[in-house]
Amino acid sequence: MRRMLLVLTVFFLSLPVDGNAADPILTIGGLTEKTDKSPLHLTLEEFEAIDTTTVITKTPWHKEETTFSGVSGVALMKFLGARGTEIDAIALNDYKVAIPVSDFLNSGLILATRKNGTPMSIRDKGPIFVIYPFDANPKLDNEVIYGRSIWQVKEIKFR
Amino acid sequence: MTVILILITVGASVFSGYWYVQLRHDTETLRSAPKDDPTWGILQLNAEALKFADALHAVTIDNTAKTRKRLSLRLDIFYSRFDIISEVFVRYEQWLSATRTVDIYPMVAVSQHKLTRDFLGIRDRFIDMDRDVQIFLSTTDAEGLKGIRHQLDQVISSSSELASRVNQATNQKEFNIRENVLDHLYEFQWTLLLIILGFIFFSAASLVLYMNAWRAEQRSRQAAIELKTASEAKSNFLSSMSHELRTPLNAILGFAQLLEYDPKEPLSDRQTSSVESILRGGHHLLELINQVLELSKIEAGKISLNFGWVPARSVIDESLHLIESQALENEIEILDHTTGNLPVLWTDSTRLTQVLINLLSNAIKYNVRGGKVTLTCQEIPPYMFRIKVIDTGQGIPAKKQEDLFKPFERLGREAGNIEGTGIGLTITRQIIDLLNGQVGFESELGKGSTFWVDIPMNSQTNEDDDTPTFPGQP
Repeated sequence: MRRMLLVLTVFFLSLPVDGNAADPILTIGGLTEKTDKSPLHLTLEEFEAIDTTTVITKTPWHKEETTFSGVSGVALMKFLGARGTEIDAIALNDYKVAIPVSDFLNSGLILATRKNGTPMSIRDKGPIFVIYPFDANPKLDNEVIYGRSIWQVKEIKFR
Repeated sequence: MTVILILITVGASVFSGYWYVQLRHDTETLRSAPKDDPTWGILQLNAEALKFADALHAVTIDNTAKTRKRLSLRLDIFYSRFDIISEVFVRYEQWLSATRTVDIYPMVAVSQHKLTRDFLGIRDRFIDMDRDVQIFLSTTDAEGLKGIRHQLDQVISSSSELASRVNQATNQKEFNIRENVLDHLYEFQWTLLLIILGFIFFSAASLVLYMNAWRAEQRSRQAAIELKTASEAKSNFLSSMSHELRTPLNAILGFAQLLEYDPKEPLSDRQTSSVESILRGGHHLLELINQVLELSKIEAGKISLNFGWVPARSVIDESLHLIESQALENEIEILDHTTGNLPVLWTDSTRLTQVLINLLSNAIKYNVRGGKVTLTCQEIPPYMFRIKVIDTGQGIPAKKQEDLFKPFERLGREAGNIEGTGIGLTITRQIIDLLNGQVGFESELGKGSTFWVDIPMNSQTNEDDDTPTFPGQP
């Protein structure tokens, strides 16, 4: 059964389940210079063009040390000319958390798009996973930060 | 009291140590506990199942690319939820086996195992359904949708049932851990209270003991002051009484002597005998009074000493000279064996002579008729010079020896015909103490006694040296 599961998982992961690569994966809105008038819809390629920062860490959902790469919180805020004090992040299942701007600026979090160099599928908590550098800072190891570590992010709003 | 205190302290320490370890373990257990709640994951799974059901319903009504795309998205999200719950359950299992939690909460462990097993069953069912949905999405053949609906219903019903069980298990776990920690905290509190009470008790007991000791010291100090006052009063009384007694006694003795030797009116033989008795009694009384006066002076600290370097030879010679007549009178032969080069002594020559005469006088008085008194001496290095007076008397019984230096002790001679006051040796010892010396004796019944005095000397026996040194002396 286990082997079958594995085979199936590999099979499905290889499928282009997330649709067309040109489809927007992330909507950005709220108090930023670039989104004052209308929200920004970014494809994976456009989003990854903003910045590439790598965080190597274990997480509560990844027992092994894993290499995540994506856009750092700082770089994203600079790119957008963001204002505001909090960022609402919304997942595909409409789970929503508020992340303080201070986390974006100081904690070293990234909006990861790739795990070990490969884009993350929805089944693997993609397309965007907010990753805190847990290994670098043990103080992050608590429920509050776990709650902010949102995955399957489809939209962020600055307010 | 002390034993109880120690027992309480040790007991409290052991208890607190034990509870410390327990609490330490509780803390570790809590700290290492998985921080995400499986209940949330299961609820999310159920919510996602309903959204998937909604998307499936839409496809059933209208099988288009748009509805199929939505179905595919919901399926992926649905799929991802299973992974997350698996991870949470795995962490719970690991935590349960890594900590002693399994021993403390066996029910938690058992129900967790069951939950994990049942969850994996649901996941297997989902995987089957997932495969069928994938087939539908690639073939777009609506025939399979009925079967998928049936599989989904099974997943939803068992997952709803699992959700309430996970919730119960989580509640149970929270409850058990909290109760356990609270129990230990309460016990720790009691132990702490015990330690505090023990400490207070200990402090109070120490204070009481200290106060008692302080009071006892105050009392003994008071007693010492009273004793000194009483002793001074006694000495003052004796001193003034002796003076008062001496004045009339001098009149008695003076006029008795005038009677005895008045050439104009010579006394008859009977009268002479009576006057001699008066004189003898009077002299004895005078000696007694003088010695009492002397003793009271010494005890009151009123005698003055003139220390100086005194040749031992001169003190011995003077003492022998003064005792000569008494020896002749008692028919005692005095043998002086103190020959050679004698040292100089740091002492008061008058007082030392007084002591020697007292010892010689005793040796003569308590000797046998025709007996001998021998005087010897020796140096006791480094700083003492010993003079020994050896008699051939009856000796002193062992059981009376310890009373010898007490005032008015005459060792059963009170009724005898030998004159004595009973305070000569008391005075001797007092004086020797003041002269920084020592006095002692050895005695054997029937053979005689040896009395000795030790007096500080200049260790250099050179009498020509004008500035002899003697440590510790002014």
